[in-house]
Amino acid sequence: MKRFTLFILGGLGLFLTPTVASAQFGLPAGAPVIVPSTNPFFYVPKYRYTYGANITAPTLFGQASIGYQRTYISTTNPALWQFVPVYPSWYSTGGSYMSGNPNVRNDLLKQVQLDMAKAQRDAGMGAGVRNQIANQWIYEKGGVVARPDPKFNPEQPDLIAKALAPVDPEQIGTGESLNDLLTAITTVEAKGAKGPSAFIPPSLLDDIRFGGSPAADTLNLVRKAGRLEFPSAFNDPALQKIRAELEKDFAAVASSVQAGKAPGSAKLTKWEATVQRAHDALTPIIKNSTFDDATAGRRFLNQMSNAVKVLKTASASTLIDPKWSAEGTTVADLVKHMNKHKLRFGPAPSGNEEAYLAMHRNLATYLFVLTHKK
Amino acid sequence: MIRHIASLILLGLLPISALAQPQRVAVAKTTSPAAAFAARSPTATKFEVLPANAELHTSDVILALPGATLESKTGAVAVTSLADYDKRSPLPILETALILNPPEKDIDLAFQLDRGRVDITNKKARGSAVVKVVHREKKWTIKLEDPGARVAIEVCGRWPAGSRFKLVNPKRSEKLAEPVASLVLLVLKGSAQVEIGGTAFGMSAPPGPSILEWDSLAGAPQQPKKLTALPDWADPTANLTPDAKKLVAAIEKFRALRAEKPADAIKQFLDSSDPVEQRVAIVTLGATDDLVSLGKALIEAKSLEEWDFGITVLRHWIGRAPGQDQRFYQHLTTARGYTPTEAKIIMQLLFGFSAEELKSPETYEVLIDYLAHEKPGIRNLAVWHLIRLVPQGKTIPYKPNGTLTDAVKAQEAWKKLVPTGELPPPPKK
Repeated sequence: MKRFTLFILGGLGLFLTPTVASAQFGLPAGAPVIVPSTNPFFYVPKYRYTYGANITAPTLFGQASIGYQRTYISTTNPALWQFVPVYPSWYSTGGSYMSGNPNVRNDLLKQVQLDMAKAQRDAGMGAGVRNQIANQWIYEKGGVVARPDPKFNPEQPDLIAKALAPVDPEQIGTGESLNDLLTAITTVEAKGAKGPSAFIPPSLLDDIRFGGSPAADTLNLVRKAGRLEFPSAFNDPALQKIRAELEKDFAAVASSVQAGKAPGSAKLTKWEATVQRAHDALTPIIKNSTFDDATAGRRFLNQMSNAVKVLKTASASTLIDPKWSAEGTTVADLVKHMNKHKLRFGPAPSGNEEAYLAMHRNLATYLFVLTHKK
Repeated sequence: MIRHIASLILLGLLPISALAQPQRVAVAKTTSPAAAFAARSPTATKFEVLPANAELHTSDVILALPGATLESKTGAVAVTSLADYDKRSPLPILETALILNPPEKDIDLAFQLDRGRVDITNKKARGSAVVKVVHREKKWTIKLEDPGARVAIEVCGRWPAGSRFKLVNPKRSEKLAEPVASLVLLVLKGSAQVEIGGTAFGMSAPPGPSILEWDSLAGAPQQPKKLTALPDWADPTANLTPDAKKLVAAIEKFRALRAEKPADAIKQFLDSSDPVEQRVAIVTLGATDDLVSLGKALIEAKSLEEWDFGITVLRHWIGRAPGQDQRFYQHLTTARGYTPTEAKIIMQLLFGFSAEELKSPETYEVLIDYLAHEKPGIRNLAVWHLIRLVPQGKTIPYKPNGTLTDAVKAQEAWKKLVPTGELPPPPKK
């Protein structure tokens, strides 16, 4: 009886004693944890990824673990690595970036990272949380919120030094650092600098997106003719017919441009009319779309409307270099082409980050050659 | 043997059952006239207006009208709620709410400051008074060194412009995104030692290190900043403008009416023709979480200004703490009959837009598209934004309680002002 009572007491002691959570120590390995920065003025997302193997056993005084554990801290997200999951067959799909499952959707994780980085950059530009709240209050009272111009920086470092400075790989995907390199190269070339530049294969060019002007949007669209990415608002059954017409009419126009020729006016006119009908057809769908879906739908059609205007101009025939898809181009020729048509680099679509890293290396190397030639 | 086992099981279950019900202990009392405070216990659904000299209990959500004062039971500490009458404060303060915490050793008063502004005063005849203030799980231990030492604390939470509403499935244990929060602590008189997260700061009233700020993004407070003089918002009751004096008078009138007829005060103020009184009522509806009445007040708004301010109160409501956005979404879909898509549209319109989105013509196009929505709430929210983003559009006639036909006419006028695919014209100087 006494032994039995002692046994029960011991069990209760075990049961009531707080134990260490096993999620961080056992198998499978923990999810990459985004480490917050205490410096709001400069934020580089860091990931703390813990992995290891051990055996845990309950004891009278708590859980005892025997094994090993390693912590890795990096500025690149281990979840993006192909070889990181140590026990891939043990991970299930789904989960969220905070749920302890490392097999997360990269696009969601990337969006979170970009949002966090943007929020921190906003804080670093003098906004701060208090100002963010105050700005909302000003907006509610009907005032105009003054926003600092992120491009204006009286203490901006030397353009070339800035372009060649080490950049966080995540930052490269926004296109900003590529544009810094583009600007620096253009400046240096304007002073007469010349040099050999790397070859860019068609596959790499295909993963690059342009931005900053209607011509850039047109270029992106034309390169995707035949495989247009319609926004989700166009999944509505009421838009299926107009969607098919848009694709067909646009493909007819794009084929000329892809061949380095100006599109025929009849095809342009037909396509323009289809775009206008699509605008009208989208209006009733907007009311049943979330704000993001609605703006994506409108943006898509506005890009098409702008593309019509761009393709009516004299430079339409040279917007795409037909050699890009067949032979590729060099960095120097790409820079020349972008400056001719006032193109900038746009943000990397999800999954194309490696291409942007490669392009960054190519541009940086060319700039280095131009500025450090003997 | 069975008796032994049963008693052991009961022994184990007792603490668990005790933990399930928060204990209510009277740790303070009001020192203001009747109806300056309202309180809601953990098990209640509505706020109860408190009489003069009422006891204040732990775990109750306590709403304080501006000027309301409470004292700890020992009389060591007084806490006064203040309002931002003239909009001078660094943070937008609409109302003040706190939850008193159970007594702790060596702490004269402990409470969670949910939102608003309080001034804390050492009322002891001798020695220091220690107050523990909690906000978003951060604990601030404030030692008011001398009798009469006084500090002001302001707290506010909001969703930053451009935040995205994300519906969270609680069954999947998804983590909530949180609105940002900012806290400002200002030493008004005497000196104080403030400890947070193991770091202690010595502070004093100006001239000296007087002001300390914290926000939910940075996590750790920065060093106290030195001030040479108290800022003008330190005493919100000083140098009031005529509009601010009207507000003070309206709040006192509301308090007196609430003391006499608690059930009628809000309705009477809502029906008032005085816009200041309408605002007091709308703020109170938001503060007391009466979303049904707040929605009704918006639908029945007699003027654009009344309805406009109601949207501000709603934005404040969803941003004041984590989870408020989810609660409001559920309210829209369950109590107000909105479809999930419509509710998401409303949530996003309440959240607002980032600077990048405001540079995009599509943002304005979609807002103008929403003007012809069947649901008045959506078209009204669209107008709420459009008149702020494009001030020239204020001249376009629009009524929040108008018909869809009227809204379509307004939409045509807006389309002329902001053509498709273009950004709005710059405001006239």
